[in-house]
Amino acid sequence: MKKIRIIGIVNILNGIVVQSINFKKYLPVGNPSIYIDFLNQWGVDEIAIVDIKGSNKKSCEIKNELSKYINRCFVPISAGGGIRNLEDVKKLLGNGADKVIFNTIAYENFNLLNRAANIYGSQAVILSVDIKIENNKIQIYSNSASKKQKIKINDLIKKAHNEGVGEIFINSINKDGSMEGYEHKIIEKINNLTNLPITIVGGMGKPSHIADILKYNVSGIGIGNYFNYIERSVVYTKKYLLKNHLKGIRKTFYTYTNENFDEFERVSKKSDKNLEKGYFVPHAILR
Amino acid sequence: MTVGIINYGMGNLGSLKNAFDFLNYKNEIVEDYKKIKNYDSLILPGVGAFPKAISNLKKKNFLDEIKSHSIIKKKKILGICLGMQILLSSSEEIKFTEGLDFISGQVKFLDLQKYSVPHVGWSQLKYISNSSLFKKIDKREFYYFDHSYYFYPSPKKNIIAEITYGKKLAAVISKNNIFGVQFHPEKSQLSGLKLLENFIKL
Repeated sequence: MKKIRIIGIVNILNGIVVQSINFKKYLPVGNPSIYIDFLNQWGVDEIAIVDIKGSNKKSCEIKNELSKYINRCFVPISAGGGIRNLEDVKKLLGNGADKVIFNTIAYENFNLLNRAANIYGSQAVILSVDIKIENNKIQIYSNSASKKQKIKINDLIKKAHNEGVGEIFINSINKDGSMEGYEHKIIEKINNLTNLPITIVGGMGKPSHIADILKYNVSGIGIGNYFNYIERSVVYTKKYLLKNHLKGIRKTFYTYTNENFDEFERVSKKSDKNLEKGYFVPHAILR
Repeated sequence: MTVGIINYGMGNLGSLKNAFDFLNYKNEIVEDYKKIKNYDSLILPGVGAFPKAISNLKKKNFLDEIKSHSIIKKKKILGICLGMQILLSSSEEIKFTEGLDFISGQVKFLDLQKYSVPHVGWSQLKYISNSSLFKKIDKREFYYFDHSYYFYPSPKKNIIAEITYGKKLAAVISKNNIFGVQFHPEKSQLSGLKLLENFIKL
């Protein structure tokens, strides 16, 4: 059975979580540790934490903050933004990241990814690629979507494959924050290029957008802004998918029955009694 | 009852420490091999490549102390991910390297055509034999895997649970006081935390 990971994307700008729209506009959400704590409690499968303006900085700034952000979090963490050297990688992994996300540095010094893979294993190395569809072609960008790169997506993926990268994230700049669904063109295109796990990010507006791309061979679904809008958004997203018979979704300690969705795929109102049942009580379960 | 988490420069010690802190068990990250004798339970974490892991363990003089803890004193040890693989006889990762050989078996490359490698994601386990590691944990729970090398015993010996990802892989192995899990309990939410607690309580 093909499995899909629901990955919560946490965009960090100047120390707070933000919603991102087309990599240009940002709306504040709040404190990273509180937001990450919620995602964990709501049963997200993985969390990716990115300093979105990291490439403009001299070194990776979130590496020192990371352990504070995730100290109540027990799901896999990937982190990145402004990675410059092996010291950044080591510090991130030491502070609780399981994987490191490389973006801009890949166009300046791909060798760093290769060296990181040799030391920490391929599974710890994620190449994150920002793309835009221009004149029906895939254009790669770096430096927070401000710099065009010449390399073609095929060549980049091949290179990643050969140099020990373990996972690939694809972020669509056009779709980012648009809420109109994922970028199908790019998935179609890279699906046959590699058997590395692919995570697609950008554009989620409602749970059926996930259903739309399950026909492709994707391993992870990145969800950023959408998870900020309602309480227990992760639970409801999974409930929608399971209710629509989409297999390969990890069930958690929440029950996934007795939920109804309206025409906009929003959860219908429930009685307070039912709401109380859904609360997360780790110690009650553990002891 | 302090838990010792061995630091040999491989892997994500912070999240293991977090997990034991959350569970309220006294724990320490072990930097010095001389300290190993102080602990009842040892955790051998590990993220990275097998040869490097073994050479780091040698460099920090951990090997003999771990052997004495687990084989002579018969105290508990739990290997996680690469840590589990190190408990086995050898691995073919990068180059042939001998492991601790606490449980016999070879670690092989997960050579799959139709599936993504590394194997990343959550899986339910198929239980082969009973173990108190899974006491009071729902059998339908998922665990988080992230690896490109695997182990599967033939004949089925010392195996508690397996998964199928293109082929059959060992998820949990154990022999007397020695335990290994291919997945990351510290990253598997409540069921993972419960497993760690069960290990400490054994």
